[in-house]
Amino acid sequence: MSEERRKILEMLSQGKIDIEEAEKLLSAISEPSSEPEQGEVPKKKDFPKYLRVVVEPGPESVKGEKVNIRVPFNLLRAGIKLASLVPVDVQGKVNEHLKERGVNLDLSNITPDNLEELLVHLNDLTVDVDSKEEKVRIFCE
Amino acid sequence: MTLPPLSMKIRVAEAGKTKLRLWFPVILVWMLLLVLAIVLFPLILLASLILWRQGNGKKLLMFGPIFFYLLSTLHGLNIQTESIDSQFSISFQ
Repeated sequence: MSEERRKILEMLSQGKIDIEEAEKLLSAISEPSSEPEQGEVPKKKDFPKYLRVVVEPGPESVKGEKVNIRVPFNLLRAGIKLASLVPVDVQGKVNEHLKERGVNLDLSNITPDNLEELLVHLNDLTVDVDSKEEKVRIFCE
Repeated sequence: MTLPPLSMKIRVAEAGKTKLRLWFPVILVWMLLLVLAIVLFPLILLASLILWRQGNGKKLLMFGPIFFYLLSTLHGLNIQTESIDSQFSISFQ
């Protein structure tokens, strides 16, 4: 029995609080906080399971292309973990190729904490692009 | 721990006609890879010991478990593309 529960029950037995107040206090100390504290990464169960990319043809689409992709988030995690196994000299070459294509990303800076933080923020990611030729939706579920 | 997916479905269609519809028990591939890993483990261990001082030995040893973890995360991967005259889909279950 925790110290807080003991104090609440003592106050109840001494008549300092009534049953309803004791119940409220007990539920307050046993309820986990709904929001994570600053800097704390939410538990994995709060993460979305899949990253979805849906492309549908627009009214003026010529090719009528549709794309429906569902990628498990665990696959993204595993892929980034696999990237950490790349030898340092190869990482440099990969970073150079990425820079040439306009992606300013350093593979060596990706840590597990950064990854989890990125996935937390991806949870709120929703991209909707509507054009005459196609509609693009990127979201997490 | 999640196991790798047991099966894979591939479908390829052109002009409305199905060219390929395949259901494949990929678990057979994973088992083959596992046997290969067990057979090659002594060589991998020796190579990792040789490369340990350069810092690549640990990465070589960890490649197998991380690759297995990567395979186990394929559950639910689903890719479908469709155009006017062709369709392609692949999914892991």
